[in-house]
Amino acid sequence: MRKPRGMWAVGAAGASATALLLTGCGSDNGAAKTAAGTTPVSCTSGTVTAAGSTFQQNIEQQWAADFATSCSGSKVTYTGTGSGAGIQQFGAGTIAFAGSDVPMTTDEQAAANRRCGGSAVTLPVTAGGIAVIYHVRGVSDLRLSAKTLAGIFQGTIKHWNDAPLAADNPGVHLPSLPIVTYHRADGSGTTSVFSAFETALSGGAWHLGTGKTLNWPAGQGANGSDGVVRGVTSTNGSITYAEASYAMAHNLPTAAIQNSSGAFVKLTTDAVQQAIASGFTLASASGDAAGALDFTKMQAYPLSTVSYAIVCHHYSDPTTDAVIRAYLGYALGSGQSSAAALGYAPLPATLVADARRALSSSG
Amino acid sequence: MLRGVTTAGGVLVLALLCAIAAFLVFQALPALAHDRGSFVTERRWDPDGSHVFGVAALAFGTLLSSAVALSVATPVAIGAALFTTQLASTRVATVLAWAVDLLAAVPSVVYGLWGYYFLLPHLVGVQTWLSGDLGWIPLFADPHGTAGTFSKSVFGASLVLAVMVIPIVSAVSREVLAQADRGAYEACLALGATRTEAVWHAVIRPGAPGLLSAAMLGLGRALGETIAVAIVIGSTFGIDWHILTPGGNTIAANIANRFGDAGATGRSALIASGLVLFGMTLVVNFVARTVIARSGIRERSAT
Repeated sequence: MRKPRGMWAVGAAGASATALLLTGCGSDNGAAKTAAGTTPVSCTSGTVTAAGSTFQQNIEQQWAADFATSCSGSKVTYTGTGSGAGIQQFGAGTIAFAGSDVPMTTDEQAAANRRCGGSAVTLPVTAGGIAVIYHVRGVSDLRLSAKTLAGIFQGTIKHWNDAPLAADNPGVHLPSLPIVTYHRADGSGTTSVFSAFETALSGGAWHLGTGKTLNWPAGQGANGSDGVVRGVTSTNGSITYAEASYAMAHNLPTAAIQNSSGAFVKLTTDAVQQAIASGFTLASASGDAAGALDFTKMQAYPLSTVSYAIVCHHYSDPTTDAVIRAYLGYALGSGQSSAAALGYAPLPATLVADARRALSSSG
Repeated sequence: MLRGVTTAGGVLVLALLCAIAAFLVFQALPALAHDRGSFVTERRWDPDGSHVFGVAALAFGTLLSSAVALSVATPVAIGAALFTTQLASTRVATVLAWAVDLLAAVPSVVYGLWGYYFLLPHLVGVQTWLSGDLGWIPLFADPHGTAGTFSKSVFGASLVLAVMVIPIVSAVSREVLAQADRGAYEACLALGATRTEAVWHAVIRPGAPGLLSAAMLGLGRALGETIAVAIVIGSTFGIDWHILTPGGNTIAANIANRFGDAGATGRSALIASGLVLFGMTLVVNFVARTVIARSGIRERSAT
């Protein structure tokens, strides 16, 4: 058997040439959108890893890309693992800062303080609405009350044309498809906020309590916001809850949710901003900038929340300290203008000031 | 020298097994002490919050999915092995054997992704037919009417497991069936048996203990399969015989899904469930060995 040896040499040369060309391209952030209007960012080079809430994942990755373009040499990598996993990893010291939709519990705070060798600070970085994302062929303008949502996710309302859904949507033709619900199987801050909303506004219909994981009696689970939304895209007649940017990314409709004053409000940036301004209060004035959500007080879109970054008061490694401060300074500054385009809402000015204060009073 | 090395090897394996068992027991104890429910009968899984957790739903899901997977995989695998050793021409047999071994080399996570993106959407038709025509069998009943939709159910997970188990069962069965006595086979044919009868009496029956051990090996893999099941199954904590309903969970998949966000008690609880799985696999292996040993002795005394 005659092997064409010349061909092998040409092939190998071609492959190595292509490889060299590709490495020459390097890390090109040309695809990232740069935020309009930049405030000067103090730059240091270094790499920092972060993980946590999939709620804030999309904006964190946008910020990381924009930060890297304005500050070459520094790199922040954010992985969406769920708020629960993010807090655990932060407490274990495997990541530099965590993203979470809910403040830490006392046990988690104690572990985080131990990891930091001082105190761990929770500060809000973005706000957003939890969208109730659905995929029902032929239906595009769904209205849902908290009570109906409770019935859907607890499995008591089984078909799209059941009475409570018809009552919320007069005049809309709903098919008789069975409802398939997707909930978060992992420890999710989004679940925590959603269940808190249900506990507050469903008028006693919600029996699953509040928490990052719940004992769901019906439906199926998936990991991460992207997991549940992917499930919804594949299933006709399905519904889930996830941050609004995921609905935008997958081109799925979101429901208008009824707030405490009885109005059904669609998820828009303005609606979320109004809700946060009326429904979010800081828990303590000193140190932390964590707070509590009061869904009964929220005007406009009631399923709104802030999402937090959990950082150390002071890092022993000066590079990590500098990079994180620069990154969060960017996120709380010009980074806020990236929010609307991605499906989030910029934080109210007072909250940004509180967050900056919490950040600067450290170190 | 040879004796020393081989003894050391044997001792090392035993020591490793004891070390793993000891690790599992010691790490699991804190959670078991904190459990506010009964670990064996509780279905809920909330070790970090209300400290109520148990393996009832997980163990049920593990056994159910493995049983369904094995019932699908074993006939296919043994059929393929029979075809390869008895009926196929040498060239076809070589290609088929090579293909089956290649299936074994595919990583589990790839099976999981294939299952989720390819198999599950295409199962909708099969699910509709099963719940429709065979819905009178309780296993395939569809009380919630969800069989016609894409769903992450025990059925999908079992099929993915079956595809993963086929290479192992087939490879071992092939080895077993290849050792069949050619003389006995030809003697059966000479005595006037049909090909089917000859294969049954001269190949399958004497090889039955080996085929059973192949199936047990497959069962062992199915019980412990983690990431493929975690991607494809519905992650709910209920005991439901209806395999077409979305939901279901296994011990290994639960460990994979929950390990990241587990606190101290959570991790300990997951290791406790791992201990249960370890025990299950030990029991299965022990039963398999006993059955094989007994049938082996019976065969020898019969001749």
